[in-house]
Amino acid sequence: MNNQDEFERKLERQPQRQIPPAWRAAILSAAREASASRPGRRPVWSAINHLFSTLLWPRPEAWAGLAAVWLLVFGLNFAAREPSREAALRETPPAAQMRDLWRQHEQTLAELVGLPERPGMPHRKMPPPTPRSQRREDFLHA
Amino acid sequence: MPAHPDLERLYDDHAQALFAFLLNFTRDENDTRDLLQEIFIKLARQSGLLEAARDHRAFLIRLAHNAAVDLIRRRRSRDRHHERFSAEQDCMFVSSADPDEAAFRTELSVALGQLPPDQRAVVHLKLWEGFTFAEIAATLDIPQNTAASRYRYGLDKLRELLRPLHEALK
Repeated sequence: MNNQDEFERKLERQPQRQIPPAWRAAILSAAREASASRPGRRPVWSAINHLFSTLLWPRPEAWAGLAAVWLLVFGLNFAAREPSREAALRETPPAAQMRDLWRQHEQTLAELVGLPERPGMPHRKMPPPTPRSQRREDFLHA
Repeated sequence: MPAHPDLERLYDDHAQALFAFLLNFTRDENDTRDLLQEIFIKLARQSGLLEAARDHRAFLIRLAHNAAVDLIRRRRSRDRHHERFSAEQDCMFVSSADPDEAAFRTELSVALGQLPPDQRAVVHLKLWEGFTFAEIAATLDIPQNTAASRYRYGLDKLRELLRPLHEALK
């Protein structure tokens, strides 16, 4: 390179350390052994384990914390959920109780209006409403 | 008959360059050996790994770079207080009988250790592998401008750190 200065050239000239000769046999031997002992396929459990360790490896405690939070949220959600339809039906009072309540309610209403009404008394049937002109004729012919 | 004759040829052709690159990147001889072995195990297991590579040296340095980056990342996330990369450093140059040269090489090795690993990798490939910026960019999977700027910043820092010694030795 033409625009190299003296400093760069000096750096380039510095001889690098040589690789230790003993490494050659050891590294090549390890490579051959690893190649020969390599299993054809990774067992399923090992693959799952590897996947989990790869996913969870960076901060296992963070993932554990997240899992705990999810469990807490799930538990709270389960505890606070609305009762089921069957449970709601189970909690409604039986029909006899409902009838008593309704009778008490009618009695209270009658007292408020001023009509004393005995329990069990049949309701008075009111005549169906008639037009005003018809009422007038009834009055004149009375 | 050896099971992997290509492996031996690859070792003889490229192991020295990979050793120098990894030693400069990791600053630790044990890590360098582990990574070098890891690369050759990968080559032995995946016999077709180099078939598609046009330049074997560049491809192998890329493997070495990725393996070294992974190692540093694992170390950092498993042990935040692990400062061995900057604290204990193996000198990457041949020792010299000349005290001035020996001092310069030691200082250069220390100064290289102070560069960020990204700059150190580019400086190494440019100065001691003779790669062009285009080759460095392809090897490290970075834009060419990034390779050039990392080299410039790295060299400026080395110049700054070594100037007193360099001037004294002139």
